[in-house]
Amino acid sequence: MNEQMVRTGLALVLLLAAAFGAMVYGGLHYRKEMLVAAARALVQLIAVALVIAWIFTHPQWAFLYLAVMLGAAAYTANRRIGGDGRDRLVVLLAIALGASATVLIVAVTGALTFSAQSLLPFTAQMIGGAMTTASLAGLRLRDDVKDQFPVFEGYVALGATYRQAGREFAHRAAEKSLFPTMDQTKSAGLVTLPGAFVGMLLGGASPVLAAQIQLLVLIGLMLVQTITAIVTSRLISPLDPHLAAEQVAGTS
Amino acid sequence: MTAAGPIAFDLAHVSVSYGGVEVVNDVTMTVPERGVFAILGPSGSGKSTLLRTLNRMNDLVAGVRIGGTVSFRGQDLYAPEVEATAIRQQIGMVFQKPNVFPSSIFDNVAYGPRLHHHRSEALDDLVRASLQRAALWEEVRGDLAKDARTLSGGQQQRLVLARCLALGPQAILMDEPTSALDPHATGHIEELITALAEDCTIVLVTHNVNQARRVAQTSAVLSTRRTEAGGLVGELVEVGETAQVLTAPADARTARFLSEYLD
Repeated sequence: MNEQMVRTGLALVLLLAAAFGAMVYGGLHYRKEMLVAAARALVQLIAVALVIAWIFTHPQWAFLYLAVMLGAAAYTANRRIGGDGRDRLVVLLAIALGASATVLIVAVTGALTFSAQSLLPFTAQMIGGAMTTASLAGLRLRDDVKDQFPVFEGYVALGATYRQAGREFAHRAAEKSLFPTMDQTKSAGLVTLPGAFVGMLLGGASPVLAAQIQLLVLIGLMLVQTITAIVTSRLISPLDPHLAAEQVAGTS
Repeated sequence: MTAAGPIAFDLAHVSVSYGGVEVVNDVTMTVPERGVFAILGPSGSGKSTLLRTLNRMNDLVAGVRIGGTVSFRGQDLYAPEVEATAIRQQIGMVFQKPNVFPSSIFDNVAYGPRLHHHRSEALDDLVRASLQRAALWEEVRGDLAKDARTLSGGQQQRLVLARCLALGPQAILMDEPTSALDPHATGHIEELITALAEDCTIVLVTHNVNQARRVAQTSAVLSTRRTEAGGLVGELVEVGETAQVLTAPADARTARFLSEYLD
């Protein structure tokens, strides 16, 4: 253990203790939850740091790592949507398509070197962003269909399958799921300093290089999320599987 | 049970339950080919639910169970090899509130034909003919590209009708199609119903007894019954010629319904 680790540990303990103290002083609940969250972050980040450090020395395993991450992202996004096994495959396909297209462009142009050190964290960030968009697009689609159920029924009553009817709502759902990213991108550097930028500055990189990498991440997210949103909203089942009788118009 | 002649819908011991709770119990009746068949009854008697068994629209509800058999022209609508989407092309539906699509008047009518790969060169003619049959053509002929949501309620309901006529349905189910309309627009729709019924079977859910008297040759009356579990379940009280059922009902429950619901 080097000196830097000790200093980091000391700072973490003080930060957490101060946050806990502030919660006690303010009479806030969920103190235990905060401690658990901090403990989880500690364990998970140390574990992921060890795994990634190992992959940097064994880059042939990077693909396995990304495959596991992709599976976990699809599982998580689909669980938020409440979809079935087929929906999970749709989400997996959506994230994989978006991430591949983005990483391909970044790698072919040489914007990032073709190495595990640069491509692995970039791809991971793309998969993470796509996961958020996939669940948003799926949830928006199902909400819109539920809100405008009589119109959805109109399509179905003309012989459309549920997915064909859902496609009529897909554009809007995809657009809505992209709003958060656009807002985030618009305010980058102005209202907030985005994560990659801050991380690189802290790591000692020049602000110009940090801005370049941050731009790759932000614009890359636009592509990965757009593809993910379109594929998810067009292919996922539009019907909430728990649609209750009273939500269907005129069941009297 | 009803008038002799060809039969469109044949329902035998039909019951519907949502999530294990029965809402329609043991309905047996036949709907004759062509003409208007009205389904009447108080709120909660399962009129809409029963109507939706005829084009499998109840399939959209999770946990729905249909008991008994429903057939259309001898075909069991719930047989495993039957596609619900194919059924819904043959058996159109008009809803309680006009549910036009957020697109142009033309695209509303063209949706069904396009979905089912109708030849596009004949599409203009088909859209026009459908709007003509729905008595809307003269009002919208110069505005086919206009957003359908800008039409009046009565026009929207005729557009929904045109949309379903574009598929050349053999039967049309109507779920209280005039309940959201003013008397003038209602009269317009009733004239259309009468005209369409000359070569199409129309099943009309209504709680307006006078409407049934005006347009329907055959009427069925549903009623609610309290179950042992304390819930309400709808069941068929009587069915027959409208003139008979709605003036000299055989069942006391129909008489009570008529006295409560006559304006």
